Formats: sequence, structure tokens, C-alpha cells
Amino acid sequence: MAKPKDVEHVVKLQLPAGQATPAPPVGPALGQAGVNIGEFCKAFNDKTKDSPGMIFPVVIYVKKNKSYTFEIKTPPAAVLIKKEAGLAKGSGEPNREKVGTISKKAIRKIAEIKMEDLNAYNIEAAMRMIEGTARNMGVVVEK
Amino acid sequence: MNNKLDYIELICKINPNLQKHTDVLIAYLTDIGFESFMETEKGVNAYIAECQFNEKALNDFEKQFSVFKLKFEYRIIKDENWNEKWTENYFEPIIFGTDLVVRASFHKNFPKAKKEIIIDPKTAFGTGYHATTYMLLEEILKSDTLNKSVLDMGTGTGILAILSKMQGSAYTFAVDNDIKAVKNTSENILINNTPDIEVGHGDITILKNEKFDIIYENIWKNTVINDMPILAKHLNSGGVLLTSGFYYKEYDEVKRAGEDVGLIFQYSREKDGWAVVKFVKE
Repeated sequence: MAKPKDVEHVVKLQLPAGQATPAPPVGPALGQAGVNIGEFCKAFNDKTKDSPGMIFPVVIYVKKNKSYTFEIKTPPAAVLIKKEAGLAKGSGEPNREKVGTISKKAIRKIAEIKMEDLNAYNIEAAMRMIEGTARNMGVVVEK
Repeated sequence: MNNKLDYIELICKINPNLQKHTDVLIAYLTDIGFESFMETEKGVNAYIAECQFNEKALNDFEKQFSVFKLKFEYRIIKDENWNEKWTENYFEPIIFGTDLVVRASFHKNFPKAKKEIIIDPKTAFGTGYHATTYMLLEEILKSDTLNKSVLDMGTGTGILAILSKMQGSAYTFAVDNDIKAVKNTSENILINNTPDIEVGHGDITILKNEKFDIIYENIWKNTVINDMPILAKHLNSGGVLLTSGFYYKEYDEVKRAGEDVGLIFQYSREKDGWAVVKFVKE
């Protein structure tokens, strides 16, 4: 989605699916920008509630007249890798400590989910980006 | 009872501040309980309820983390009415012709109407601003609620129960699973001089053997669909169920769920892409 015209504030949040509340960061960030917080939470929760446990990035564009639109993006690659690899946590020292493995098939699945948000020429390029993120987390990509 | 919920804001400066680093950091911070995030020019801010914050887990994480350069600091954000700024600056009276005006206590200029509801919108949902609440208020205005028993499931600010009571409803029960909404509803009931509304904290399982002539449920699609068999069970013969909280394009799923439990679909309406669906029980 292209950035709408007359935008006064752009707020970038990452929120749990179906669980946005007026608590921080939503309340302070959107209240300051003049957005009806309760209404935003309801709309966000409604659009994401079918993916419980997932985190969704959302970009909120607030216009000068305080009307707003928002765009929900695909979940972060690192969160998807954790889920696909069945990891409880990532590695703090990925060069030394390996915390799990992930299959090529899972990498492709994540790349396909993320394709619309990645600046990748094709699926293979997107897969290489996902593999890089996996290695950064101490996750070994199966050959 | 202290319902205040303070939050921890963890300010993370990432070097270099790249999207892939932000995403990796967020995945790691969810491991130690952080639940919501805001991207900033220098990195990301992470949020967790203070009562769930584990400082030792954060310190251990900071010591061990070597994926990229990272600096942390954190502060406490005190609980407050986050909707207040919007309310004071942007909340205008909502006018339903000459039948009803919904306004905040601070509004000075508003047209006169037969009924007036004062809602000081706090964090609970239901000011009449949202299309779903607006359409349900319209439905109630054209309904006969006199001496009818009413259930408002997912009451938010209590606005639907309050209007029903103003129109002479008998036993009226307003329920919400959010303690802030329960508190807000109780306040609004007093402000609007409709004291004999019972307020309950919980979900649909709060219902025992009561039956109602009219039920409202304005939550969201899955909840409405899941609740449908219980809503039907607690509706009197000839009773009316008004549902909302879902998109118009999805109303067919709700219609089917109602018909599956024997309710008779009456009609659906749309405003701003949102739906209200009306059923009756034989």
C-alpha cells in the first residue's frame, strides 16, 4: 500500500494477534496522534484474531483531520522461524551456540509468506534473506 | 481494588538499525515476555506489564546477546486513561436525529433530543462512534424495549444497556470480561441515572438460568459464532438477538451460526463495512 496523502503521523507497531489493547504502546502512541484507540484496537484484533500467538507489524497513517488507515504486514521472519523450527528461544551467540535446525521446505514456506513485504526479486532471493535471518538466530539451515 | 496496570517501556538502540535486526530482536524479546513493540528511529521500544517484568531475565539476555550491537534502558509508564487526549480533542456529540444525542460531559454545544446519553469515553469500547455501536443504538431506538428483559454481552461503556433502560426495559444485565469496562459501565450507569442495571464481570459463562427478551452481543465474529448456542438458549420465545462486531462481508457466517441453533434470521444492515444481524427465536 502506498503512503496515503496528507499524512501527519506514521506509527509503526508490532502487536500480538487479536490482543491489541489501549495499554502502551498503542494508547500513548495513537492517543498523541489523535486516533480513536478503542476503534483501532477492535479493527486490528478483528483482522488478526485468526492467527493467535503471532505478532503482526502494523503501520498506522494518521491524516491531518485525524482520520487514519492502517496496513497490517506479514509477521517478522524471525518470529516465523522460531515457530517453524519449534524453538523456545533464539541463540544469543549464534556463531557459538546453535539452538535448532530448520528445513529448506520451512524456509520456502516462510519466504512465500514474507514475499509481499520483502524487497526480493524472486522466491530464491527471498529464501536467501530468510536463511540469513535464521543463521543470525543460531538456527542451522538443513542442506 | 487496585486496577492500575503500569507498564515497562524498554528502549532498545540497535546498531546498525536495520529492519532484519529489529525483527530478530523482537523475536528474542518475546522469549522474555515482552508482548508489544513500537519501531523508532534508533531501534525498537518493547512493552510489558510491570507485574510480569523479569529484570534478571533481561540482564541475562543483555549479557549473552551478541547478534548485533544493542543498548538498553527502561522506564515505567504509569497507567492512565490513554483515550483521554482523543476524547477531549476529537470526540464530538453523536446525533440520532431528534431521538438521541450521545455526548461527553464536557460538551457544551449540542442539539436537544428526546434522549441524551452521557458517555465519557475512557478505554472501554462503545461511544457510538464506531459503526457497530451506532447501528445497534439505531436498532434499539426503533425497538420496543418497554418491560422487556435485556442482556448486553460485551457491554464496553454500557451504552446499549443504558439506552434500553431509558426506554423502560425491565431486568437489564450488562456483562464484560474487561474489568475496566465493568468499572466504566458502572460509572456511566450512575451518570445517566439508570441505576437498576446489573453489571457483571465475565464472559458468556456468567449466565446461569436467566432468560431474556432481548440480547445484544457486539464483540467480534468468532466470539459471536462461538456464543451463539448459549445466546439462543438464554433467549425467550419470540425474543430478539442483535449481533454485531464483524464485517458485512462476513455476516453470512454469523447468519448460518444463528440458523444452525434454530434462530430465525430477520435481516442484516451495513455501515462503513460493518454489519448488524438480527435474529428472532420462535
